[in-house]
This record gives sequence, C-alpha cells and structure tokens, in this order.
Amino acid sequence: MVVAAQNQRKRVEVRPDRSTKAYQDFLLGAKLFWTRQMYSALHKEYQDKVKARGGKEPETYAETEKMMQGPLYSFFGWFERHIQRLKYSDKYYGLVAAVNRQRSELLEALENLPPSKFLKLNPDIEFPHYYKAVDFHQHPGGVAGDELAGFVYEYARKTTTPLHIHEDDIHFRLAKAVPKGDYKRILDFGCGVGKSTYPFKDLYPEAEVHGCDISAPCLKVAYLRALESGREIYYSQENMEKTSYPDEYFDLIHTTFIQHEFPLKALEKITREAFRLLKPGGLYVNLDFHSAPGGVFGKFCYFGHSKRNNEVFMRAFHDFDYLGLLRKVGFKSAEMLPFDDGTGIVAQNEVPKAWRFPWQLFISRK
Amino acid sequence: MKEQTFFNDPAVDRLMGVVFQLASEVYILKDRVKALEKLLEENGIIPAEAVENSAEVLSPEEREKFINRIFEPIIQAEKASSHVAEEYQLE
Ligand SMILES: C[S@@+](CC[C@H](N)C(=O)[O-])C[C@H]1O[C@@H](n2cnc3c(N)ncnc32)[C@H](O)[C@@H]1O
Repeated sequence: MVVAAQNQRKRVEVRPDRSTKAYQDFLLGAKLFWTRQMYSALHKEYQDKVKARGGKEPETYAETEKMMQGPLYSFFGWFERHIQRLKYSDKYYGLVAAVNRQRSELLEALENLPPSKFLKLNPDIEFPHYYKAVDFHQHPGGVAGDELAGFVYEYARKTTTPLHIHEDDIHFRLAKAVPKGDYKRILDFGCGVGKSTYPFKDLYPEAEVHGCDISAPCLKVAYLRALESGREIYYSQENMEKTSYPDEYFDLIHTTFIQHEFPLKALEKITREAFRLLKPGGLYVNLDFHSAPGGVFGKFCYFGHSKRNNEVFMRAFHDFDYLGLLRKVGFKSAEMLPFDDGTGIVAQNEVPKAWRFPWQLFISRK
Repeated sequence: MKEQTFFNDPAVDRLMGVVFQLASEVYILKDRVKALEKLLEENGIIPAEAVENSAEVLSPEEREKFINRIFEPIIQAEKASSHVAEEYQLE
C-alpha cells in the first residue's frame, strides 16, 4: 500500500517550453548528422589521404591531426564542441536556462524531500581537486556546482548517446551483462542521478541496492526518482576514494561512465576502495571506455573527443593498463570483455560505421 | 578560458555559429507554424488566405531580439562556457 501511495506522487519534471524542445531536437538532429554523415566523410577523407601517401598511415595522434587539417575536420570539430556546448549553455534554449526558468519549483521539490534512511548526505564532504577543476563534458559548473545540476545532468543524458533507443537502455544492458549471482548487497559506485542504479533493483528485487556519489544535487534527484517509482534504494554522498561503508560490505560493485573521469592516482585509490568494500569472491564490474577500435583513425577520433568535450583524463585511461591495476590491488581475476551498447559489438581492428564510444566491460573477482 | 577554434580563420568559427543558430531558429519556427496551421485547419477557424492578408504582427522589439540572437556569436567574447583548470588543459 505504501508503494502504491508513493507511486501517486506527481513526477517532478523539467518542462522545457516548445521552442526549447524544438531547439534541443534540432541539436539532436545535428548531432546525428555529425555521428553518421560527417564522421563517415571524415573517415573517407582519412583513407584517401593515406592512399595519397602511398598507403602509409600516420603513427601518432599529432601526426594524424596534422594530416587531417582542412575544412571537413574543422567543421567536424566545430560540431562536436559546439552542439554539446549549446545543449547546456545556449542562453535561451540551453538546459541550464530551461532549468533556471523553473528554479523555484525545482528547488522546492528538492527541499521538500522527506528525510529518510534512503538518502544520506554529508555537507562536510571534501571534493578532490580534479573534480572541481574540470567541467567534464562541458557541463558548466559540473554536476555538483549548482543545486539543480542533477536535473540538468538527467535531462542532458537523453542525447549523450544519440544512437541508443532510450538513454537508460545502456544501464539495463549492463545489469543483464553482469554474471547472474545471489547478490545480497549491490553498490552503484558513482551513481549520478541513479540511472545506472535502478536497473539492478529491477533485476534483483530482493537485493539491498545502494548508490553513492559525491554530488548531492545528483543524489537528491536519484532519491526523488526512487520515491516517485516506489523503488527502495539507499543513496549516500561519498567520495569514492574513501567511503564510509564497512569492509567487505557488498557482493557486487559496479560503475558506469566513471573510470575515464579520474586522474590515474585517484583511479588507483578508487580501485583499492572497491576492493576493500567487496566480500571475498565478490564482483567488481566497470562499464567504461578503453582500447578504442579502428586503429589510428579510431584513436584519432577518440582523442579528439577528449579535448573537444573537456574529457581531460580520458586519454590517459585509454592507454593505461587498467587490468594490471586491478590485479595489482588484489583482484584474483580481471578481464576486459566486448560490450554491445545496442549498436553491435565492434572488433578491435574494425572502424565503427558511425561515431561511438569505445565501450568495454571489465569484470574482476576478489 | 578561451573557447576552442577549429578553422584557420577564427572568423569562420563565429560565422558557423551564426549559421547554426539561424538554422535552429528556422527549425523552431517550422515547428510552431506547422503546429498552428494544423490547429487552424483542424478547427476550421480560418482559411489560409487570412494569414496571408493579415497585418504585420512583429514589433520593433521583437525584431531587435531576433537580430541580437542571430548575430550575437559575432561579438561574443571567446570565453568557454565550461571550465578546465589550466594544469589539466590538453594540447
Ligand atoms: C558521468 S557521471 C556517471 C553517473 C552514472 N553512473 C551514470 O551512468 O549515469 C560521473 C559521476 O561520477 C561522480 N564522481 C566523480 N568523481 C567522484 C568521486 N571522487 N567520488 C564520488 N563520485 C564521483 C560525479 O559526481 C558524477 O555523478
């Protein structure tokens, strides 16, 4: 009955006006054009240029950039940078502006969240330097900078991966890709607004499901959505480098869209923390980007994305021996597996047909 | 922090901004006009010629707002909307 009552909560929503919706739809169309047509044209130009050099491929990212200089690459870069910038920051139709037009209503919704054991905030938490120093994926102020940043992030995710049927599909795919097990307690490590958390509750309804993140604005939205949908999920504000959970507390810990956002030093701390939190035999699962397929061209696109989208630690993680780190901190086994994000698995030596993130699935056992 | 540029001449970056925003405005309008025409037609309120023959509706203020929006990228300072601390900025 309690669940039924919660289900009747009116959903708190960002409601962009008609023009903003049309603008965001235009951006999505432009992004799809970039993802397919511009990307394919760029790949063709790459092949032609290599042919003109007698078939000799460039060796480094810098050399490739130099070879690709020209109008097409300029437009390609412009679109990649500015579509994302305008999505958030257009003064009239950007998501930040749209959320601000509803500022008092949305703030009130967050302030009126009922206190509960399902949301634990820590106002004294200290943010790591790298976290505050970079507006990842061009979100102005980052996902913890403004009290309403969680709503902005939630809405923005709709178009991060335009080829997916629905933005939450990837999270269900992860939940299903994790080897089945009798998981009593599950943690979404770096859960954001809970999009990567709730599919695990749906798949393992008997399990105690937790999500932690350092961003209070994101956690509040995660908790709000859990209330609205009648799901019991424990959210807690934590720095992943050192959380407040006891040793060996979880049977399964998973992450999504996270590893590439850390400098390597922090990544090591976080990996050690995950190891501490897992029961012996427990699983650590990471869905992230690594080992971009498509040879020199694939790497060129991915490294360029890193610069154009403020993903400043992405390149270092790409080249990093993450499996080595997992084994070093003590995981008995660690492997990197191909992952189907819904657009099909792309083999290492294959150039993807459309622009895509180089998804990889890491599964390690303590 | 300076916004990134992609063309040999940064003027082209700004021009691209103009064209892009302009195209977006056309799309927004297309959406509204189509929605309106559909409603009018469905409700049998006015024949199409009524729109054609009606008096001017846009005020000078509306015109100014429109123009400012379209041409703003030209005068926009090259300031990034999002931030990366200097020590993390990539080549
Ligand atoms: C790209 S989001 C991914 C969120 C979520 N897993 C998803 O798939 O939607 C990255 C998240 O990591 C969080 N984060 C980054 N560094 C963190 C840290 N040191 N401790 C806790 N959370 C952190 C950010 O606040 C952000 O919510």
